[in-house]
Amino acid sequence: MISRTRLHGLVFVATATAIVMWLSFNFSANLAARGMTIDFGFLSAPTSFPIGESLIAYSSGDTYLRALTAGLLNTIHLALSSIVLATVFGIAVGLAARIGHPLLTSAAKTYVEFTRNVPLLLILVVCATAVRGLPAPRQAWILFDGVILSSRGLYLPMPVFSGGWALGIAAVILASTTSVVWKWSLRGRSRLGSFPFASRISLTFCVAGFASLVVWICLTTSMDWPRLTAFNFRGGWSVTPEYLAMMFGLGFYTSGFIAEIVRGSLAAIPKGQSEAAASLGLSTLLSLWLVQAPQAIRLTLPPLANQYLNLIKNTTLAVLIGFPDLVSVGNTALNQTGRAIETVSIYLLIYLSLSLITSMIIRRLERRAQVVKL
Amino acid sequence: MSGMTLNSINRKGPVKATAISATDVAVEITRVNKWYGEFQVLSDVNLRVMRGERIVVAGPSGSGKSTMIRCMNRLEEHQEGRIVVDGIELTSDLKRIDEVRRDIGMVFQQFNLFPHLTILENCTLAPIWVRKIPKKQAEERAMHFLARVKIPEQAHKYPSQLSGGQQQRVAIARSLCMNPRIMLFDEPTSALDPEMVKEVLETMVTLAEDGMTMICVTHEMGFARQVANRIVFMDGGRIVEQNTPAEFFDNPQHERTRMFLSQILN
Ligand SMILES: Nc1ncnc2c1ncn2[C@@H]1O[C@H](COP(=O)(O)OP(=O)(O)OP(=O)(O)O)[C@@H](O)[C@H]1O
Ligand SMILES: [Mg+2]
Repeated sequence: MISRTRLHGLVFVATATAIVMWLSFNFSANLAARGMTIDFGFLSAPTSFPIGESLIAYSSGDTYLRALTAGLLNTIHLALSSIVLATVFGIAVGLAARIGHPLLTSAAKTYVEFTRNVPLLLILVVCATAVRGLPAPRQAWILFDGVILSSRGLYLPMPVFSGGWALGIAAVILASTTSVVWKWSLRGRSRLGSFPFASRISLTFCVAGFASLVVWICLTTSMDWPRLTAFNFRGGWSVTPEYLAMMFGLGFYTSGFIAEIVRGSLAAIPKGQSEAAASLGLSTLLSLWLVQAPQAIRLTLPPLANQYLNLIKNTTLAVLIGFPDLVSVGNTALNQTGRAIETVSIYLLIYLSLSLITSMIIRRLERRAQVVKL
Repeated sequence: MSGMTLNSINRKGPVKATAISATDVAVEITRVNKWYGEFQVLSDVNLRVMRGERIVVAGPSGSGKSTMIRCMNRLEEHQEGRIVVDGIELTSDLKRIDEVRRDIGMVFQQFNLFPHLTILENCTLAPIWVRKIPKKQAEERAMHFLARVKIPEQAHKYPSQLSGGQQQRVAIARSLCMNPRIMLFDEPTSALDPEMVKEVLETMVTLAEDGMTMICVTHEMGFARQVANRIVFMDGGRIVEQNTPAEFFDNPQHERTRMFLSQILN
């Protein structure tokens, strides 16, 4: 006898396999009928279009594979920075709503309602229009020394490390040694009540190590400052106005949802918890940090993962603004080669992988944040 | 009063009279009024608790008992009148509120232990972060109080692994770790199964014997008779009557008190 669940599993797998087989049979039959073939050979053919911005060197005439890779890197770059922006703003606004100050609460509420009720497309269009209003390079806004905002984008000074590999290896060794020494010292402290002599000596050495590392970095690193040339800036680290528009639009839109997740998860913690914390003399901030947030994190992670997945998929709206993300580059490739099925299946595969990686990371965090121990 | 027993407590005699200070006022509530919207929860409440005194607050449901003691550590704010705890008047000044809360422990009906922390961590959290005591010392102190509430062996478990009675005793130990000068109890045994009520009441009796200033909202009349110096009876947001246990049970002055007693004792 096989168990009932096992049987259900077998039936499910069999059905799914049958459906997939039927679909792919149909698919190849239809392709054959139209005289079409699936061929990814175009990926190694040369392109004939430029890409507005790229993290890797790319110029018209490089392969389609390289063009798509540039697009993919742009997508990842944009998604990551938007996620950071959305998370930072979301957490700040969500916490502001819980501090208990009436002004903060209503400001946070307005922010959330605004972001939730304005369509993303509209926000992006507004952002794109706004960056178009940026001044020409000669009238650029210099926000800080070396931070320049103009119609050519945002320019920042970029550190150039000439210390090379040795520097990186030294930093890694120092960091791992310090973390081991620190853990060992903490064990000593909980045993003796204060740091033992030996660990005080070792910690001093670690601090000295960091100090010399900083000196080394300062000596070997030069800053590459953006400079104004005839019509543009050169040097430094820069992003285009399109990138800025996408990042702010996506970040702003998603941060409202994240704020609501943070606020809601904190509100879901029983009132008795904050009352107990208060009755012990913990301040509002300490109570949030030590008592409420650790319990709320587990509640925030699953919906947070949804927001991140949405954000990643929403990067495809870059097409509308002219930011060369994967889909934007891919559509050009598709138009030029006519390889629709191949291009779309590349999209599918890549967005699926990005989403799965994101879920996996969050799932792992979730396991670590298992709060209520049983 | 014959129908009344100390059903759950071993020691039969009243707790030894420990020194009650004649001059040192622990809590002073003067002409306090409080409203929830239109509804007046506290009306002209006056109460003075001396250091070392043990007060039991009784009264029907909704009479404002919880509200009154929650005003004492400002979990609720009062709109009129004065509340002075340990010489500090409670106003909207957050620093003073925190100062008062450090010195006044509170035990809740629902225990309210922190589920993400072990028993030991529950007991050391506030001493470490509020009193800034070194971790090691805070842990020693926590173990001392956990031993006093008779559960030192549970120190490394999580709250959900303990019975209700054990959790409530941890909650008491957690408060004691802050070295409070006053303890507030809001129906600490009401959420417990009958067989666990006893262990918690015994812990509270020990505390009383040590001379802790205590203000307990409870329906445990046996406990009240054994431990209280004074019973405060509330109804409709007012303090209707306050008296020694003997007078309160055997010679109640007000009709409302008599009615309440006949209900609760039968
Ligand atoms: N947050 C609130 N908003 C509005 N009304 C409230 C609030 N909290 C309490 N009340 C009301 O105030 C009155 C007194 O409540 P309180 O909790 O102090 O009563 P209690 O004497 O402790 O009763 P119990 O024995 O049921 O715990 C009740 O009528 C209650 O409904
Ligand atoms: Mg109550």
